[in-house]
Amino acid sequence: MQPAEKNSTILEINEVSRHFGGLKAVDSVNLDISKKEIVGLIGPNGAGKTTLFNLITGHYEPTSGSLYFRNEKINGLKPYKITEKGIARTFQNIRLFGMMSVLDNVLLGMHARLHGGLVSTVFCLPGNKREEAEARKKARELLAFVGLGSKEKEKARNLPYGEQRLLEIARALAAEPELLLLDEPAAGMNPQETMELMKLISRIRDEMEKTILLIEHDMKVVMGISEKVAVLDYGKKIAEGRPSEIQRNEAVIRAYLGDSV
Amino acid sequence: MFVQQLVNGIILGSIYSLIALGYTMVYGIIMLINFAHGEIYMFGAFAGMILVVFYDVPFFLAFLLAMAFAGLVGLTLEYLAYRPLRRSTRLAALISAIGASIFLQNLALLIMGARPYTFPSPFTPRVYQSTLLTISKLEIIILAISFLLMIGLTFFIQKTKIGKAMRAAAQDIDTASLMGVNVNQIISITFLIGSALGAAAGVMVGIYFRTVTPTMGLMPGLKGFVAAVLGGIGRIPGAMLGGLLLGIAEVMAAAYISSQYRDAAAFAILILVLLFKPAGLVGSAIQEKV
Repeated sequence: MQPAEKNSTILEINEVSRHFGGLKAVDSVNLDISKKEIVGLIGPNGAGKTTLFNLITGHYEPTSGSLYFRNEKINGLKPYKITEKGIARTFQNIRLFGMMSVLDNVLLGMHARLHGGLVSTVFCLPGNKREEAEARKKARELLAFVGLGSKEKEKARNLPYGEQRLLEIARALAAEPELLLLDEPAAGMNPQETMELMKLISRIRDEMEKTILLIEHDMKVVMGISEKVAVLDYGKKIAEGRPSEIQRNEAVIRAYLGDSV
Repeated sequence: MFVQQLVNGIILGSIYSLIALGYTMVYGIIMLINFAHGEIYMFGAFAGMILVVFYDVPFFLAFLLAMAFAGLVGLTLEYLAYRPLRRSTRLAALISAIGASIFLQNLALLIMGARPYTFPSPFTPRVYQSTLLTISKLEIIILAISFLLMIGLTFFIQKTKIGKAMRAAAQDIDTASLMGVNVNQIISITFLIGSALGAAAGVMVGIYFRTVTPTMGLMPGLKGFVAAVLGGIGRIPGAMLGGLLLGIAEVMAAAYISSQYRDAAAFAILILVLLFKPAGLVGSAIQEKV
């Protein structure tokens, strides 16, 4: 492995497995993600895609193997520590704080980046106030970026489904991640919203210089914006390559359509 | 007569609200009825009394120190009695809470003895009178402190970073931790604040009735719990509202039915709420947690 290549790798997934009893949800997966790359992760239902996300974000610990983020080992770290290191995610089943306002949801995403501790908060130290004001300003900018600028006061659970997904993205961006994990961001969106989502994801990479790993079932989205696609089936990675290569890959076609084809 | 009783009810109720907040904040995050909360209230009252009577500390400083002391007791309680049981059944933690309550009460009996201590009021006994209402300076101060603390807490919960993290943890603890919220720290802060508010109530009751005893936490602890359930346990505005309503109901029952019935009124309310509106006044139906 050349040093130059090592430098541009932001996430290195190294022989990672996760077993639940006898089930190998993720089985010896290797995957490298480079800086500013958009990588699609696909596979049939139950292939282990979300489990892999949960391993990266520290929600599960790998049974074996290791994860390196910016050349630093991250498996075994608590989720909030991994967020601090610069990985943020959205969820397949939307997990916003429904009772809180749209703005508060984004501010919460910044939690890891703000310093205000109990003491400075209780005594209303000026640094703390300034920080909170700056945080609100930044949160509004992020909401404008994803197109929710006019909705900051609404309760998150009152937003339509597609906008809830956008809010999840804004909240994840608020943590100032280097690597953004999107779990089925287009699920439940209509074609129009999906188009706008694709533009948004590209802008997040181009304008904010983020690296993106994305799980998606909508092949138009995956093939349309990913530079690299990795395919999981029964926990194993069965293919990796450019979208055009994946579309012709026989193992992938078999995984999706079965042996008889 | 009615206005007088209403004001008396609000004074009593604001104390219940402060106690109820401790129950509801803790329940909101870790789903535990902290039955040792009444003892924290008693520890706060003792700390305030000891500082004022034995060390001549000025009242308001003693008040703040008592809150800080009780906050630390609450923090330690969580660390020793509840944190090791975080992953076990809720029943185990509840039994641990009852054990902690008995332990703390007996610890106070052991150190201070069973006799009641006098907690002299630091304020001149002035009374303001009008045709409708008689109210003492002490009662005005109790009302002012209670409402200031509740407004302060509301601001803290709604506006600050830690308050937001507390609300988020109460809604979905796993997602909150993925947002970078250090959940253990938030739980500690919750116990710290809830216990400090309980201690504030304890000190104020101490100077109001001028006595402090090791068993003084039992009844107000239960009443605070009733108030929290009445408002909708886990809901902070609910605890404030529930406390006020409970105080008013109790005073009215004592005034218009018989003073023997004041405690009965509180527990009748608990039974009625559990029968007809188990989610409490501001609670909604139980939310599904994914």
